Amino acid sequence: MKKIFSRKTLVVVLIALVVALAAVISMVGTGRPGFVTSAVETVLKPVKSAAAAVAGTCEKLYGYMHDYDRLIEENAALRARLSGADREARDYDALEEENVRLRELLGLSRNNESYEFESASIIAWSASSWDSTFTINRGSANSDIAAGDPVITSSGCVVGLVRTVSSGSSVCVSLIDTTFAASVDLDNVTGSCSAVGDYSLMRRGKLMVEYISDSNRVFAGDSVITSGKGGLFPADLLLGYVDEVTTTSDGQNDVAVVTPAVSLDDLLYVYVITDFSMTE
Amino acid sequence: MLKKNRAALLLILKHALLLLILYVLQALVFPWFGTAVQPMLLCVAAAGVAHGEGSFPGSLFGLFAGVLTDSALGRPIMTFTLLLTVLGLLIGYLSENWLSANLPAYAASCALSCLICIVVQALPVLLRHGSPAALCLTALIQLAVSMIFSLLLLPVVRCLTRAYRREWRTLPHRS
Repeated sequence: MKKIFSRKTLVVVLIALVVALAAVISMVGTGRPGFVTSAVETVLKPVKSAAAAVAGTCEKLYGYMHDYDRLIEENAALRARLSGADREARDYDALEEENVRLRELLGLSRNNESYEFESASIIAWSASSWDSTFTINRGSANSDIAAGDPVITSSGCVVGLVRTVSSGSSVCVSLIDTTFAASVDLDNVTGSCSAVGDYSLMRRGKLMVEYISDSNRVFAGDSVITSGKGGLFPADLLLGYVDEVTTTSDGQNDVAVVTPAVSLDDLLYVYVITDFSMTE
Repeated sequence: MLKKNRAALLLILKHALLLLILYVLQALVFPWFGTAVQPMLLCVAAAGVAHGEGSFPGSLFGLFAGVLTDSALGRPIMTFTLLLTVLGLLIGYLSENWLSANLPAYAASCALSCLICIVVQALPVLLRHGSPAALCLTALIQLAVSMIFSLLLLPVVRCLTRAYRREWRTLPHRS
């Protein structure tokens, strides 16, 4: 019977062990994924970017051919909404002016939020059936992105968080991933709740909000926005809208099922908040 | 000697091409379709090559397949690098000494590799916010889809392993 560990196989196994240990040591020491991971991601990044460009072109062509009628209808609906939004914007301006006057009366200064952004494009989604992560084309070599930075869309909707940063790219978890968590506020509910991912909801493209102080005041369509507590996200970023209020499998707690405001399937461009500060 | 070197280089290129094609399918094509469950192509290929060629080629192929799997899954180059190397070694060893070179043995090797890879991915999810029922269903579907692709990969793996055996004849002839 042949021995299991010949010299050649021993060398291969040792190489694999060294690579794995190097990654572990690097992650524990610096929080970065390690030299080998960065090198592999650097080599594979052009392949991922090329494939993303090809896929994007194919999707555009397909969309042009098959979505023409739908786009005409959507355009008409959006025009109607825009005229309504214009009306609301005018009302908002008037209310804002009144707000400034009242604040001056009370002697308060405005909350001043300043964000620093890095724009990025999504070059690959994770091939795993067990998580919801994506890779963006910004890393430590071409940006100031760090692990834990929030990721949002141009309209300020939450997309997720940066998980690991390599030299030329970064891996981010989406808001429906099971590792995602954020402190959020619900309309009509006092006190902050916790938005977290759940595997069975992730398969449906949703997430849940737990630790709701008064679930009787939660209704379908309520907005879920970040509370700013915990320092992970700035306040007032939109996560999504409540779908329904349901009970956990053990029947002990009420949770709200939330549909994300952003459509992850259509997402191509994101913004990473590298720094945000609140002054009052 | 020159002919043998050329044959070795050609064989390495064929294995590398298989790895690249499977990586592109796994990491770049299937995710864009947005299907709920995706096959573990690289794990299946690593098991198939190890079953057909033995422990050393199996562990070497598993090493590179593991690196690409970790990259495809957006993880640090660690878990699957080690896992597929060891799986390639073990399946290769079993095929050199006990397993037959037939379809049931090939399918069993691929199923074992898929099952272990699925458990490694599912366990952390179960410990966080996972309902066991949903996880089991996904695991079963992923295993079934991966086995379908293992059958589709069989002719390709057979061609590669026949070429390897012709040159090196490391594995005894078994029915």
